[in-house]
Amino acid sequence: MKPTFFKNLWIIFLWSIFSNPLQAQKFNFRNYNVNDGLAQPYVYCISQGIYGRLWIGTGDGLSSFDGKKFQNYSIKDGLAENFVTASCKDKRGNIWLGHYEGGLSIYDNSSFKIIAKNIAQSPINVISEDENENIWLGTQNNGLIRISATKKIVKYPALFPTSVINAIACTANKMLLVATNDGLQIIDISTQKPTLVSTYLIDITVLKITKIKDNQYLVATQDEGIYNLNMNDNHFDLQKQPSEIDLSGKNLNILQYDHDDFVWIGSFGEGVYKFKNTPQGLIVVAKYNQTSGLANDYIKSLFIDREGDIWMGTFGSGIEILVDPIFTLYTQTDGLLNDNVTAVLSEENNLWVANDNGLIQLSFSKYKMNDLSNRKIFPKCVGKSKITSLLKDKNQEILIGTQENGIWRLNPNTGKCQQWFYANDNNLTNKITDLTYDKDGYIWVATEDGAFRLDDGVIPSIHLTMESGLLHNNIFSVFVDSKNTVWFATHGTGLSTYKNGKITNYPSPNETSGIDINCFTEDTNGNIWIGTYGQGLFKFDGKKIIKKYAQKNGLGSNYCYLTICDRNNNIWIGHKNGMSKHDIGRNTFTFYQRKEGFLVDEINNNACAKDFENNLWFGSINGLLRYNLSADKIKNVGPAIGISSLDLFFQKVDWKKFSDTLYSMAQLPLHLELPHNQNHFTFHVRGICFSNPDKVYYKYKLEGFQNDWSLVTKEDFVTYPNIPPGQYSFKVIAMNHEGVWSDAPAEFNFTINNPFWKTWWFTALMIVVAVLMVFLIIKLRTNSLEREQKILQDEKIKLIAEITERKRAERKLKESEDRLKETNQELNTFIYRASHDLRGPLSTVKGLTNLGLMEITDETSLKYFDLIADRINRLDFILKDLINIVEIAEVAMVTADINMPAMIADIVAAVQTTSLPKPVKFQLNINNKNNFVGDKKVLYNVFFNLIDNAVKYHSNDRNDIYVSIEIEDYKNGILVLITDNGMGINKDIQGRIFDMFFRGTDQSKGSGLGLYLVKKIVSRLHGKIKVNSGSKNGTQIELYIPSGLPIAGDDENDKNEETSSGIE
Amino acid sequence: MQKHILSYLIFLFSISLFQFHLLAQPIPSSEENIPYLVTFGSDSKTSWGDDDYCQIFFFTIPKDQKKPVFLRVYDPETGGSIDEIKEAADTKTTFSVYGGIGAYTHNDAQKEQPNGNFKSGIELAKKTFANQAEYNEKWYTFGPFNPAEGELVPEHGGYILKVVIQGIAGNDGNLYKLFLTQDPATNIKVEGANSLTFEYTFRLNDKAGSVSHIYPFINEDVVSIKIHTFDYDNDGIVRIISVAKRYEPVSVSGDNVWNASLHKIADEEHKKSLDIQMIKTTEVKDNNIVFYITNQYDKLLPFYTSPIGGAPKYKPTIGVKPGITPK
Repeated sequence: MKPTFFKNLWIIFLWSIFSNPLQAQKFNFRNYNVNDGLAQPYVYCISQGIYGRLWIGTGDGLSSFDGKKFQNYSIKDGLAENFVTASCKDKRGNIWLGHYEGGLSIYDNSSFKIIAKNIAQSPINVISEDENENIWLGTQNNGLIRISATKKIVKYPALFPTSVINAIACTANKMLLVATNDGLQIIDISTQKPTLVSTYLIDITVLKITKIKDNQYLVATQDEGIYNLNMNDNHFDLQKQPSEIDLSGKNLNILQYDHDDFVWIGSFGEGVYKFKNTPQGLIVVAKYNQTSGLANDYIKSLFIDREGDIWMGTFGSGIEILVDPIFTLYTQTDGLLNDNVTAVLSEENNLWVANDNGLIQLSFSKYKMNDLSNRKIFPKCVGKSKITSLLKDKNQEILIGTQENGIWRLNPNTGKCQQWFYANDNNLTNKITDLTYDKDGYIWVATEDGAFRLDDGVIPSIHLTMESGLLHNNIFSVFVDSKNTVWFATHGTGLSTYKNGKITNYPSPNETSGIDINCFTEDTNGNIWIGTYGQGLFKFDGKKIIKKYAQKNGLGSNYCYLTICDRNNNIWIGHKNGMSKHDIGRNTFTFYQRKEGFLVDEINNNACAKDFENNLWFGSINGLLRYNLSADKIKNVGPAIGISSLDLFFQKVDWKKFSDTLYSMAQLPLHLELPHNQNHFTFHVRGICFSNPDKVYYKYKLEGFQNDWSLVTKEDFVTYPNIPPGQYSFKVIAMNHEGVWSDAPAEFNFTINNPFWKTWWFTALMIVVAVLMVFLIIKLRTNSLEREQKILQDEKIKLIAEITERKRAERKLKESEDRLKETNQELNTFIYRASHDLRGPLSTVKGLTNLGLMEITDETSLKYFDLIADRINRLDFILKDLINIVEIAEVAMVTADINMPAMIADIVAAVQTTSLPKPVKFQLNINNKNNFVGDKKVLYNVFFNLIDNAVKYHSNDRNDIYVSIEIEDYKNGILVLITDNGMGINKDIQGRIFDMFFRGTDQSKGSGLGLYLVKKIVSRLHGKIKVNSGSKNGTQIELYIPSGLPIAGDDENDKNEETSSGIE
Repeated sequence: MQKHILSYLIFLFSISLFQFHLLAQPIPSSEENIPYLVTFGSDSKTSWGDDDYCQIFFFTIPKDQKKPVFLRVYDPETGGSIDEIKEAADTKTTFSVYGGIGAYTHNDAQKEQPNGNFKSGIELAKKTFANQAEYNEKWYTFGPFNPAEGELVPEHGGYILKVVIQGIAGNDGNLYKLFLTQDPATNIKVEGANSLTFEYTFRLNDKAGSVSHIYPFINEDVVSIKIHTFDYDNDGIVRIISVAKRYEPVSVSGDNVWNASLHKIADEEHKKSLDIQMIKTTEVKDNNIVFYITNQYDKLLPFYTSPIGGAPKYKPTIGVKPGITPK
């Protein structure tokens, strides 16, 4: 067999393999099931509330979903039944819920209420609202039921006695389109009594109706496909809707129509179809089933949320949201020759994909950019060389630039590929980096040996190199802008352009070095965007570089391998492991990486193209990447925002205690007033964006407390501690990942009341009280003063009386005193005079006695004369002492400087002259240095008595008499210590030694007045005397005598005068 | 070598049996050894073995069954090789599935005759089959059904779906089987599920000597039962085996007539199943019969396709050494 046979066989083999439909494309779904919190995996209906939450009716409860968390509701929350079969949001934002056993509930965004427990005896299949806010129920076995805006229930059993109602659509012209198991019924509801207008599709099970536009509806049947219903006035035109695929027997049970003219049809057993609704009929755009990633082919409900996302409620596998991928990656598994796509070319409805050294031509029909099944393959068409660039020439052939083998030419029809542009003598020329056309139709070839222009044929008409003026010979890419300027990408230099035969070079924007240019593109404003290797992205306005973007500005990387401008004037920049999109209008960058679906490790240089539907295609080492323009539209729908809860002091609060009427997502009272001490608020908020629930951002403000918006934050709560009394309005707004903010903030108004002491009435009360208090105080004080005055008056009177009495008493006392003084005076005078006068005769008697003693010899007579002499002497002493006492009391003292040593010495001498039974030893220590002034006579009396007593009352048990006399300065006078070793003084008589006429012992021959006299004198001198003595232990007299005359009233020492021990 | 091959074949056979066991039984069940259920078209003669052209089965599904269930019907059409065709195959049979309140508990649903609101509950699925070759000896699947769509009957531990098979036209006999499965394409038993009926219409085996069983459940307030048979044609012996009865004979009906056979119920038979054995003694083919059982109050007792408590075994009341059979 000839080799060509096998070659043909190989081609046929490849053709047969690769002309078969591809392995189905995979789609991304985000599934939520019981494990995520959904009440039950059978999803019968889906609605979206005013706060953005989805309300999902399942066979065992109602679930609400905010993008992150499910919350489930059942009978115990107020539902008529757990099994929810239908739902509808009315114009007021209430959610109506139909149940399996015919119950009807409503959620009014505050609580659930049962409208009727058994409004029907069979499932409520559908709920719809007409223009007049009537709610229409379609039931399984109980026909049609209407609930008016005033909640009046009317049933119409006659209209559908046996039919199962599957769907209802309310038209603007007061018609009801009712889908039943027995066909499509049109009911006129303009009157009180609805009437059947017409029936279509008799005996055909009609399952769903959806509105395309005013007066046009699509009708889905169970087994007969899709119909188109047009209404003009009251004329109906129902036609089978042509469809690219046969929809008969597909058990189509759900239908939705989105804003982009796509029709979504769910089936019970075949997943979901996405059709493009065209005048020619329905064209399949995609099929979503288990094979392509859907969890379950049994679709019970479809819902398009406010952001335009598609939710699919499955029967047994929960709920899914279609995550339309921004990027779709095709690999060898999908039919490429291998995963390395080195170049891409788009021409008409074809896409040429270069895999290393082979080519694939993909042909697309409109809306079917997912379908890669229609293709031709040209493996190894350029030998072993890697393909670097592609270009379609005017002969409809494909020019293939290779890495080392020049340019090849491929005829797509014949498959013949041959080398076309090759330089035998210059390898660098054969290293083709890029190919492009200029506006004149000339081909520009970028090589490592400069740039060539091929005008017609393979011989270059122009060869530009450094010699010609280019900045470098190694051209990485070549680009022709709308003004027909040719741009050359070189490394380590500035910019080189060529136009009208002239090369123009622009200096590098880097001051110190050139820039490494990899790629160019042009935006719709004519600016050129320059991607560099390491220096980021530059914008050139035709004259100069006006802007530079780097990573710090949001560019994904400073290493740019390709640039292309999309239909929306966004600049796409390919990096090694990501793609940046620069929104020129908003001056923002979006960086797509793996998690956004950019599942590519490395983009190939300049491998990009834009197809006829404005999708972008990129070549990478991991496959062919498509950017889906339709999936990346900014929806311009900000998140639904609501306040989800409000805590006080970080604690949950049962707000029902504050009001029966609660509203908002957080179920808060409408007019909340709190006392002053309940002023610590934490608001939890929820911005709902199902397309990207994790990228929601917030701004807050509390008007009345802080009127500016906070910084944008990801935190979904904010705390305001210690809010002072006042009226406040809390506002929050949310932004989604596209930078779109909510239409309006969520708001909550509340009041913190003043503490009672800050209220006006309290203030007024306090003022009144204060005034009253002042008045009262004044009054009381006045009264008190009056009383005091009266008391004082009384006391004064009393006092006057007392004073008068006292004065009288004083007068009496004075009189008594005077009388006493007078009496004392008289007594003293008497004593003095008597004593003095008695002393004369006594002296005479004494003299006569002494004579007698001298002359009488009789012993007995002598003894008697002795006794007489003794008694006369004693009497004389007494009289003398009495005279002294009176003198001390009466006679004024005369002061003079006292020479204490001399006086003591005199006294000692005087005492020694008396007859003493034993020798007396006197120890004198007179050390007073200060001048001492006193009455000599008086002092003499004191010292003499004391010293005389010390000698006189000596001890019989001792052989001598010892007397010590010490005098020293002390305070204002002198301190005298007279110590003897005499007989001492018994303790029991020490208290009496200073009494008049007291004699402590029989041994004493004195008058008993000596110490009395001492006491009198010391008292008169305001001195002190202290006696320390014990029986047979001697005696010490401690005496203090002030110097000078005693001052009147200074009698402190007098008070302390005592006789014996303990005087201090 | 042959020994090895034989061992291998035995091994494979065992595996297949094991797998078949895992796949469990259709209705009729393998324990019953009844070849097919039968429902005739409404124009048929009752003497062909169907007194009311209607059959009602209930499927009990445990409450904790979360996955959807499917009802599969084997050979739902009438006209193929296994059906009993009279003249032309013109019979239409409607299969409908019901759930919701009253599907099981409604009185009319538990009668032996399809009167009143025997289609009580909520119709979940319905399809009419005529002579359609694409369903001949093939399985047709209804569903999926959410178990919660059945009627919650706590006494049965979960939800109940009702299947009503009704011949609405024609005079042919539709022979078919049912299976409650977890998979739409294969028969996978629903764990804990069971099925029951109050009136059983079925085809006996053709071969003499074959033994079929049906298993009524005797609850505790039953004192006596009447076993009603229709059009048995005296085709063999029918007897009762229970824990207290060993081959108690049952009198059966003749051609196109009813017969009732009275039997006392012992205490030990309460809350257990009876095994009513039908031993075919003739070679009469295509014998279709109807059974129902009532208690002393004329209340119907259910037949469970999988006997509650297992197939009963007689327990002797006297102590007998093994090997000695009491007379």
